Amino acid sequence: MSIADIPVALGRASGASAVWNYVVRKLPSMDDASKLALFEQTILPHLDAAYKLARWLTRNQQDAEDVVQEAYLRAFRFFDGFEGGDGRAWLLAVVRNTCLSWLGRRTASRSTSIEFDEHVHRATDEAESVEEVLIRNSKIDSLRACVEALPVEYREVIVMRELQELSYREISEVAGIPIGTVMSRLSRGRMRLLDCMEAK
Amino acid sequence: MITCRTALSLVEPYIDGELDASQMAGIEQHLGECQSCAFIHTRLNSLGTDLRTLAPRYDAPDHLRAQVIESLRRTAGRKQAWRGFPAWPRWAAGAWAMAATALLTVSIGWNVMQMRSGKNAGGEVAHEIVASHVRSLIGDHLLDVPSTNQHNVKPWFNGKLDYSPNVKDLAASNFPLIGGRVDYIDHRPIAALVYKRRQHVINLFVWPSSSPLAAPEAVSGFNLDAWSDAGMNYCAISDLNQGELLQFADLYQQ
Repeated sequence: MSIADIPVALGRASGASAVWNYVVRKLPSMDDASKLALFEQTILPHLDAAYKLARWLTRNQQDAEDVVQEAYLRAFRFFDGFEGGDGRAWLLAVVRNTCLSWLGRRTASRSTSIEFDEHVHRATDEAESVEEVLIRNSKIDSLRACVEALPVEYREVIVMRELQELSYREISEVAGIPIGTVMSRLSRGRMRLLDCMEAK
Repeated sequence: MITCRTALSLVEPYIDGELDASQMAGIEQHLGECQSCAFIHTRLNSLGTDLRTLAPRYDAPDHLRAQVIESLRRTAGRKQAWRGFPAWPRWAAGAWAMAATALLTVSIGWNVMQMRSGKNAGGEVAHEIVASHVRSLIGDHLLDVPSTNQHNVKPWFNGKLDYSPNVKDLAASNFPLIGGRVDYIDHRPIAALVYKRRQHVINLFVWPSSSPLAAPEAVSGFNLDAWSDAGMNYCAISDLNQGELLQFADLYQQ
């Protein structure tokens, strides 16, 4: 098959899934150029999702960039093992593993510090009063601090569900845990968040 | 009718849109009738809304996209080049296959020979390079001449070495030069140029040699890339990922 067929083969409609499966089965026998072309179309578009997860798990912009770079190279190396379906969940699983081994290395060498230097505020509505803006900004800060303070096993499910809108099934695939565990971790994570927000 | 106990176990899946129609009807009815469960539902629901609307979005920075594509292409391209022969087109079967097989055998044999002889000759130097890189990071001897200006770094080596290393400024490609030092490798003083990528240090060793260095791609968690150009050997080493290190090497050779 040639690279030119791939865009056609990757039509979003579910009817294309047979073609998709065919393309994916061909992966191990493809040369690197075709593999890369397929990779750039299926996995690369999920860069924002990859960065978002890495950013929340590492709590730091530079480290998140490093992790995403490393995760993408890893993902390409293991691309033969991609069985089609949702490229986002597949990539996020690689990003998550890269993050966790990175965090393991990090805690082994030095303790992590939470950085608050990078303030990401949203454009505020013109109709808001100064007090409203202040309350809103302090709420943004405490919300972010509370999510960052969560233990990583709660933080990851909260980020995937609330901020990336993954389903329970997808989260269970990415994190490699049963759906029941996804639900209980989400629930505990939410309770901790509510307590943390109240304490602020 | 469902009990509060059931309702509380369903309220989060309800918010998360994970319930089927009959469960949804059940919990909606319960929330309409039970104030304490409705209160919990409201708290959890507004937590979700706050997270979605107020938490930072953290979209990937634009330069990251470019860098990821760049390092992917480089590793994919490099892997092919390293094998020493291009992938044969599908139609080149039959007679071509014979020729290809013959060429392939020769090519593999040649590669293996190169690697064997290279490893013995370059293995020790590569080892010294890794040691020098590690020393430069743990000690305070990373830089003898701290300068981001290539026109300061290059003349600094005058009188300290019997050759003049080619110093390039790659700040425009986000590999800023931070300085240089003299190091002692392979029984002689050689130039080490120091570059940065984010928080990663890249040591680039430059020394004159008639035989290219066959360095392994990775040693003890560090990535290496060696090349030679105009009678000079170059060896870049860093804890940076392989893709970006190869990008650095390619930029340097341009």
